[in-house]
Amino acid sequence: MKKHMSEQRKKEIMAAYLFLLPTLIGYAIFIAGPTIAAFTLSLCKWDVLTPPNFTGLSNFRRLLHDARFLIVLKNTLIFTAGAVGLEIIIGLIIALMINRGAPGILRYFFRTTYFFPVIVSLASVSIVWQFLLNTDFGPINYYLGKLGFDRIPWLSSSRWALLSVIGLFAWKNLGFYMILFLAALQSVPRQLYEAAEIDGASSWQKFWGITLSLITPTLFFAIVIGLIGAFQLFDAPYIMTEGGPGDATRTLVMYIYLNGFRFLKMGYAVSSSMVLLAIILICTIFQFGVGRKWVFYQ
Amino acid sequence: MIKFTKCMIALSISVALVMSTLIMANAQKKVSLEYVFFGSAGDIPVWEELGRDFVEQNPDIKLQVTAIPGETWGEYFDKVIVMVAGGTPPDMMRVAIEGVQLCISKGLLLPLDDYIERDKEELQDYFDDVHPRMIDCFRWEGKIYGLGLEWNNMSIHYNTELFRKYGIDRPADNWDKDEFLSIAEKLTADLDGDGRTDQYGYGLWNAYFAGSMPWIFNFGSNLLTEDWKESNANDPKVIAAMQWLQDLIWKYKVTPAPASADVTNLFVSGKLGMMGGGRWPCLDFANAGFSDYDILYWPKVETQITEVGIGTIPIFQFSEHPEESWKFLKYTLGREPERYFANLGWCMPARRSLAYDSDIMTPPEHFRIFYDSLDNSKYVPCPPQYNVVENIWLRYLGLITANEMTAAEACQAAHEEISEALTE
Repeated sequence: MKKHMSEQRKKEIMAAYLFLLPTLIGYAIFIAGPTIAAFTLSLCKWDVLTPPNFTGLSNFRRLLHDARFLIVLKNTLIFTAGAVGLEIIIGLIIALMINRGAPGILRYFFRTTYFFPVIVSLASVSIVWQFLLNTDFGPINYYLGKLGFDRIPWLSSSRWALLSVIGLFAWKNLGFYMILFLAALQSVPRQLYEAAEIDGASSWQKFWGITLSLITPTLFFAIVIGLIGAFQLFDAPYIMTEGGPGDATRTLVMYIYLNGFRFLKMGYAVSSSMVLLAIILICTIFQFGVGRKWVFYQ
Repeated sequence: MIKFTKCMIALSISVALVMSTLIMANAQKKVSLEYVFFGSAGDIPVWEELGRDFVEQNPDIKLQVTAIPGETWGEYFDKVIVMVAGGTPPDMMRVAIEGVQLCISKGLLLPLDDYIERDKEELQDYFDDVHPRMIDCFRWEGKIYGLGLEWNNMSIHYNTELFRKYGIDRPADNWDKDEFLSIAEKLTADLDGDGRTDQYGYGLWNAYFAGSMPWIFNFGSNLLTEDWKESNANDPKVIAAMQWLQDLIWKYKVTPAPASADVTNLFVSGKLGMMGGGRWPCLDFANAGFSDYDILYWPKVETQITEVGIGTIPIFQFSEHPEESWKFLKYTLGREPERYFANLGWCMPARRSLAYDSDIMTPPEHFRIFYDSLDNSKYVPCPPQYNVVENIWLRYLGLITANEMTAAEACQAAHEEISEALTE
């Protein structure tokens, strides 16, 4: 009997591995393999046309002294903090407003309206916003002029260009976070609010103690996903400003593209991407570590 | 009877098999030439139409046309190089002077000297009908890698309707930058009285070929040394040219900041009195139904030189069909294919006879300026590291035109970066 079960067990295990095999092969070919290849290339000098030449850590040493790399890294960090902060705060505010017992048809209207930019491609909206933000002929400056303001060089000034890209990115994505938070808000038990009202809790106390506490898992998810997406920004600044003026809106991914596909310094570009990978990894691990203290799971 | 029927069926099947094998074998003999060009997928039919007669004359050749989109020539070359690195190089590509040295230095192009020598009688009509500038730029270390198919220069396009409205006469051919500025100031206006400029005198491209280079040339200098091996970006004359551009925007206020200027559209909608361009904007003008324009030589500063860029269709070193590729190149240099190409309006035809043909070249009225300017022209500087140099220069040009760096600081910084790039 035991011998029979052991053979049966072996067959089951074999069947499980066979079912897993396509996924494992796909993972090896499309994820693990390229990652290992990328790490190897980051240790080489490679111009794409000739075979790679192993150079050790020289690419990484060069990054430390590359003033442009430090500028684009700073831009990326500022962009990420600004865009993710705006997306989450405004997304939450709108979700709270929609959740305040609005009639069904109005709720549907606002949900659709705010979510619509999410489903349009970033490249398309970037082209449209490039026109809207045109300093001399764009409608935004036109109406600002009617209100007595001077023309703002939205895309032609280092001071305003990055803010413009942050604003566009936040505008485009806040609908997604609104939907996330709306779903989370609607899962908060109403009895908790009733109990709090009986105890005389203020609106702020109800929000802080009940609402925010119970949606922390969603908030945590939103922050993690938001940061990962923001760190990889390419489309909007590439279309709207091409990274300019100068390097004012150039992000790390744009710099990787520039080095790899324009300057044909693929090894150097890959080393930059390894740094980006490390940054995202460290941020995510940090969030998971800190999240244990502030995320409340029911 | 049944036996006879079976025999007939077997015979018919055998014949069908043999015929289909013969057809397949014949089909496999057809050579497929892949040709790539800088443009959008919507332009593919244009090239297929150009090659229609060629394919009919050469039934053993199939022409496959691929478009490679991009914002700049640098982006286009990057993608072609990636194709080569990925093991899928085309047989031929349309390339402008901007990429020729880049491609030659990477060993990508096939020298054409032997083919030219062998077929020189056939090509004599072409050589007799083109300016030497059409070929000189494709010489590298004594070998020829291309023959000019088309080209563009930089002229000043002006809105004839606006000139009439403001009582401005067409300047003489040897007009200078002071007259240019005077006209630009007359054309700059606040049309609705709200204190903001709605119409500018001149539109500036934030571009390598079409933006700063014509001014640098006419200020008597060049971004690189004449052999394109060293940077010249910190030359006082280059700095003066960049200061001039910065002043046009921020001091004289006759030019909108390039980041906010879609030059062609603004010109067509009457918001710009003048703009720089070769023949390529004429196609956009025609598509927009706009014909109130004419052209002028670039205004004289220290000199009056035209910047030119020449395009060709070189053959890749890796092409498995160099002979067929050479056939296609010769075909495109013929009179009728060139006429077809010239009628499209993208660029100037290499052939003088077509460039002076008013049926093809008007508007503008003074189209002869295009070809006449070749006698006093200079190639846009395109070293093998063009993709890097272009990127560096555009970055600093953007900072100059955004008034975030002085011309001197920007040119010095660009000089240092370009110098480093040219030594790599």
